Amino acid sequence: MPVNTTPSDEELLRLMMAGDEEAFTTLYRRRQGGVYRFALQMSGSEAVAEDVTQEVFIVLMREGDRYDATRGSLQSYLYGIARNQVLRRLERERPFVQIADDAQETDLLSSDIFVATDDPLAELVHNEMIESVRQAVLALPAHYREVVVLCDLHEMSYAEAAAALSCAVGTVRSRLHRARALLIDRLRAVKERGAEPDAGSNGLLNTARCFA
Amino acid sequence: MNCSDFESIINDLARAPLQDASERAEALAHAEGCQRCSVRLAEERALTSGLRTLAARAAQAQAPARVEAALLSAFRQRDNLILLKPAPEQPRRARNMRWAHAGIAAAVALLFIFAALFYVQRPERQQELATARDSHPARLVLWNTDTNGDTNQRAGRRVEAVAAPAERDFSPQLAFERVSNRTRDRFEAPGRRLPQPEGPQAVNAAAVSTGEDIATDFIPLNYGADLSNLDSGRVVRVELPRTALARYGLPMNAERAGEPVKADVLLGEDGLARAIRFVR
Repeated sequence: MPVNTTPSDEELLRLMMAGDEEAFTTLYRRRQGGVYRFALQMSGSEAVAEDVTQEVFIVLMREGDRYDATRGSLQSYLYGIARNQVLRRLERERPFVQIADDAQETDLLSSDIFVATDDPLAELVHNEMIESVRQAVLALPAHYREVVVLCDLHEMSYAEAAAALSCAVGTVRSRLHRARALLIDRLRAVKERGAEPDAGSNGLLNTARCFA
Repeated sequence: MNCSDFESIINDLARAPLQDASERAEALAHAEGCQRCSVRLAEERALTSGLRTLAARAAQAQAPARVEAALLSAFRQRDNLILLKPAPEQPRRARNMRWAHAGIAAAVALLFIFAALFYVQRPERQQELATARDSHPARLVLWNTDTNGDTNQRAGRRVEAVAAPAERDFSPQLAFERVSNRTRDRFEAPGRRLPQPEGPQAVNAAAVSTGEDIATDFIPLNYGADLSNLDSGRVVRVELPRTALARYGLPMNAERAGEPVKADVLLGEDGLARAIRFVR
């Protein structure tokens, strides 16, 4: 039976804090993707995601000895740092998030459209639908958006998400329930507008205030 | 299971993390018999599908390589980062005290500034300054040196030396003559030799002695000092703004006011300036 020699995140962190550059590189390469995607999905901006990823690992270098394994995984710890960084950026910038053109939004809630086909038109519709979901997630208030990103997009357990967000598991459950209801309402509204004959015919973009 | 129970687990049912098989079967059975809950479950599943597709689209997204390079660079300077770690947060009381001290210091500084402004601006002071300007056209602050017999004995007394006497009958030409004669008597007496310039200006200094330059006599900078006791010293060639001529009571060509004027400064053994002469 082969012995698993892959060092854990915690072991890599310990080595990294002792000055082991290779351990840092390994840990970074293992965890940077998740941190970057979390920041990207929370902010909708690659530039912000890049900055946040860099800042997360700078903080880890500086304050890695503050990590407490009893309070959650290192992954959750990193997501927690990333979340704070993103919220700080969002608070500072207070952006107006552009919502997609109505004409681009399609029938979302029939599950068959999620199936990729060889039909180019279906593929286009599929892409537009995905963009609608992305915009709907970005338009959620931050405390709802973060649970959707962690639990649904990153498939974290409620406990892991709770550790990352420094809140109770029950809070994560209730926020996720509410967030998904908001997403469904939003996408249902998109579907209804898309069914109207002249919806989006003027080609103008609709914008909505980001509630983050 | 009723609709309320179904609603409480619908997220888990749609996202499929529900582990209890019997609960899952019970929920699905309820949805089959309840139109509203059936629609809700379809919506939740559609949303789950959409979110998973969105997640799959972004699955390969990674931070650019430059981030890793920057972090590695930072890691190699990690000691500096640790030094830059923010100081531990102080208690609120300590922070308040710090602000209080800063406020008091600022208030005291403002008081000093206002007091100084008041002193400078008061009419009596303005009158004093005007009088001083009138009576001392060329003022130079020096450290007075007592050279009576011992050039190393420094009185260390700060005085304001003037190049021209504050006399009512002051005349630049008269002062020039008077100072020139006195200095000439002291430095050009038999057996005495005027100190010669040193350093790069030695060539020009030689010109002075050969008469290529025209120079005034030495004007004592410290009017009260007795230059006759100055046994030796050094002469240093300097350049001054032409307005310095006027400060020492000498005529100045206003058309050449922007050009510097050469001067020799006579330094005592202690390095202090004792006299100056202007060279043309």
